[in-house]
Amino acid sequence: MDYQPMPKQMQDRNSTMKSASFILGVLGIILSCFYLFGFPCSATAIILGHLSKGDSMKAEGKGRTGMILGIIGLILSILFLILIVSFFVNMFLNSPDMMEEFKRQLDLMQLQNPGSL
Amino acid sequence: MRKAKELKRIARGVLTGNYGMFIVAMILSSMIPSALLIPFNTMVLNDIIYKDINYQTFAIYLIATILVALVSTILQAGQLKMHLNRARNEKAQVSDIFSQFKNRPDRFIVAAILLGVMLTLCMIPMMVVTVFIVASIPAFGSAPTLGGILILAVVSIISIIVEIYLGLRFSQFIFILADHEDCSAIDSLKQSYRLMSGHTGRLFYIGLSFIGITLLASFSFGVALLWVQPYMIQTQVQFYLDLTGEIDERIETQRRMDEEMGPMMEY
Repeated sequence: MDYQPMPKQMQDRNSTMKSASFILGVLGIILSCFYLFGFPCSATAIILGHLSKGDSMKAEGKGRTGMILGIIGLILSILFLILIVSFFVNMFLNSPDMMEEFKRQLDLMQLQNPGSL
Repeated sequence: MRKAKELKRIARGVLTGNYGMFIVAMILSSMIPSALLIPFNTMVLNDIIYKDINYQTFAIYLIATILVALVSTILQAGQLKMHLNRARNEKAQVSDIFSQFKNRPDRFIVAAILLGVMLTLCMIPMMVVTVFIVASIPAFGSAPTLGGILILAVVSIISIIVEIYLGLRFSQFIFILADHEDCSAIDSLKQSYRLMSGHTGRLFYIGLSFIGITLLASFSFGVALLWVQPYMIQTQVQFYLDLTGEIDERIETQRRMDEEMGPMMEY
């Protein structure tokens, strides 16, 4: 014999957590293009969704949806981050002026602090 | 003997509807030591800013840090007691974090110091080998020999493994002290060592199983740790209750009650 799953009244005590997970999951997807907000919303949505399972092994209802949305949001945030980084790297590599400016700044720094670089 | 998954499930069930209380307790038990250290931090920072560094200030700061660490240990024990109370379906409240100050706090301090010394001793071989290798380098700036690096790597790995093993074997001392008022510091360490026999790998696995959720919580800039930490602590509490056989006892009692009076709602 093992621990029995929670009765219905007890499961309702998780509803706030499930709703929070769902809302954060939606926010995570919407804000996934803003690095600073997408990551925390999605990660918190996944964690709250997981914890809202309570005494049962499977997430249900809004908690499960929140978890799925959180995972999608996290993937989108990572993709956006890769996109932004690759954009700046490309821009930097393809612009001779920028490269020149970078080298000039590097030389300047070396002149000011000879031992630093 | 329950698997990590099962213990986590019970922990989630126990925490359901009580996260707020445990989050407040966790914040308090980490904020109080930090608040106590503020004047000493300011003192040292002032010295550094005005370049008036004296050893007396650093000595005071060091002593204060040690004392605050000891207070922190007792607060942590109180937090564990609160989790234990909730796991046993007893009354749990935020003020429980201060409960261990009345429960012979010296025992926690002595046991924590003994364990700290023991774990530091495990690292001595690594330190000795490092000193030997550094001393054997012929000239400043030149690299140590490959053999030296290999010996250091092997000794370091062995030291770390021994340290983790002993850390796990003695990890239950704080629960034992919180549970038994008459138990001494040394007895708690001995009991923990005995209790953990054959269960070290299981606790190690439970610890490893939290890596994923902790990494995920770090993506949230630490916000999600507010929920994750009570979950981790409650799982450890459930592990302790599983070790002592309390979970089985409770299930058996519940089964007998169900047989006598019909199914009752519990948990």
